[in-house]
Amino acid sequence: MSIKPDRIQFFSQLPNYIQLDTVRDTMVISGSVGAGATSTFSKTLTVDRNNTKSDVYATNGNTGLKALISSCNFPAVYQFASVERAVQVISYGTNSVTVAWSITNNTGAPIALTAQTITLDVIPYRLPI
Amino acid sequence: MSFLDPQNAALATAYLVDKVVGIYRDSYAPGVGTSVLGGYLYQKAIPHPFGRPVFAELSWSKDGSSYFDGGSNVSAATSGAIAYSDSSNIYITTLENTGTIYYKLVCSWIDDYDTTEPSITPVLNTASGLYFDSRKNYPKIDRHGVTTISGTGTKAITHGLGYAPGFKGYFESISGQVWPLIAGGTSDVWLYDFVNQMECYALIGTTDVTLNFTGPASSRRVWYRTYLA
Repeated sequence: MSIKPDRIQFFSQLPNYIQLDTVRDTMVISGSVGAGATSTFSKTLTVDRNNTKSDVYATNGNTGLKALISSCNFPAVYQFASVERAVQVISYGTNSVTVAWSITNNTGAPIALTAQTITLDVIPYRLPI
Repeated sequence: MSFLDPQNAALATAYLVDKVVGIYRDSYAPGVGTSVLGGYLYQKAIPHPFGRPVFAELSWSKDGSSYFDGGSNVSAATSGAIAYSDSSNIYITTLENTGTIYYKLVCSWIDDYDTTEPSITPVLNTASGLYFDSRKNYPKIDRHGVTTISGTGTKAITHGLGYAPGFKGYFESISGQVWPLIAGGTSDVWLYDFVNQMECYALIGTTDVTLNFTGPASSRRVWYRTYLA
């Protein structure tokens, strides 16, 4: 059957994402990182991932800014203190999502990280598969 | 009619929803029939019949049971997968080149891709009989559109909701290819072509979404959707 997707809003012959309950937790970043060292901050959230896909959002309590981080390997809302390098890895278990941010100090002296609380929201979707 | 609390409405015709036009589920051996990007990314092309790119959301697995989201790394620079599309194919790109890759792709229509309203034949999974369930909520699109970026800089998209909504963006990291947002410079494993490829990430505020981009001077399009939180 041929259809024109531009012209429809609801059409029962096209499936949609079914949104499940959001899971929320916080991850606190603080302290100092020695010269050449790396500090890793992580948080594991429990969520039913059986037959689901999740969007993971991070919101920085200092700036109020939010970003979708589950489709990007860059922790966009991280608030830099200096010229430290910030990378993230999001890993998935059967019933969990773990967000880990690694902060590397490539300068020749210790730096004090900007204290920041990151709110993590995991929105699971039931996939139409 | 006014909608005082649209978040509580499971189905509301005042709001657009993601229109799923393609569902693909299969597996392949990444070392067989794949092309190599940048010497380290292994790419599988999956032909689609839509005639223009679609938003491709990927779930993938190495064992067929534990699935990971596309785009996000599982293990730094050693394990990950991402999907993007052009007018002919959906591409699954992985850091893996051995074993088996299992994938689930859900592709949604881009209303703002161009001004045509083509007729298409959806590629749907006949095993899934449940398309709408009024007992559950749905991601409701508050606004959607397309904007252009070039070079390095920022660009604001105003939403005016008074809170930070959900936001998804897709962009032409390479002209003609529609990618999910990627960023990170030298830390970005999906950035394999430092000359032609653009990076873009989005910061969501209470009135605007700010696109931050780095790349070549040629104009690239960004398609976006904000969702009621």
